[in-house]
Amino acid sequence: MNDHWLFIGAGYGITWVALCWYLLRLRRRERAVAAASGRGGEGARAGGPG
Amino acid sequence: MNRLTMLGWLAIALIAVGSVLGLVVLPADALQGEVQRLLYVHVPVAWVMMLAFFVVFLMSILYLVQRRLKWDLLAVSAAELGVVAAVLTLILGTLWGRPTWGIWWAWDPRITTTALLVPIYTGYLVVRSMAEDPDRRARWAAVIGLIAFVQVPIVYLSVFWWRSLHQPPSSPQSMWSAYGLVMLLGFVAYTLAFAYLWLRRYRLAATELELELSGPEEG
Repeated sequence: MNDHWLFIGAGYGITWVALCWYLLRLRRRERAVAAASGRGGEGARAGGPG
Repeated sequence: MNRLTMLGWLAIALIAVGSVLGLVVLPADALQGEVQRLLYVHVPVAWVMMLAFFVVFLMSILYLVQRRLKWDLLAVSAAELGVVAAVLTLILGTLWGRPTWGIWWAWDPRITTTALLVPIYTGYLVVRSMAEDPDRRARWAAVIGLIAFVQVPIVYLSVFWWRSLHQPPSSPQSMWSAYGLVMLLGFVAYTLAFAYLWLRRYRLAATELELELSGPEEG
């Protein structure tokens, strides 16, 4: 039964990592676009969690 | 703090609360044991996947009717999130299925039809990258967005059409009240997370299009 916690941990962990990955990827793209459009830093302020 | 930011924080807070309740507070399920805790994530993420693809369908119709690029950008933003949710749904299902069924994968109708959503909507995203003209790109994407959605009701109905390995849908109504409440919380939390990421992705897509239309020489 205890090895079930490995699967549970992996499931929750992968979900959180996926959310963080998507958020960071979004922020990186926002910064790149803000820099390209000459609105440096606006992407960072687009903000919110991440 | 603007509304979108508040929405993001609310989603994170609800996901955190749901995780604590699902992992620590609720007792193990009498039949499935501890591994049932994975369903508080798997089912809401699967719901978000279907919601995202429904949004693609809806935005595609709106684009074809009104020919406004705004609808196309909202569609692509939802498609991207839908693909992420579909991959997550499959991974979470596999992690639940291994200790429950004893296998990592089965060519079960529900699992197979869900897996097909990944190449279908990845194809949607790839086709977009092949058209340079924004209007043509939006037109192609809208047509694919309409056709691709046929697969979504098939995924939902697959467990009713073919009684196979995968059980019928879990919902708050089908579970004991405390389990159902945590499941409901998961639905709300992940739907809010989807709404937050979708709107933020849309805002990025709109800025990218603005840049694309203004041309590099003006930058």
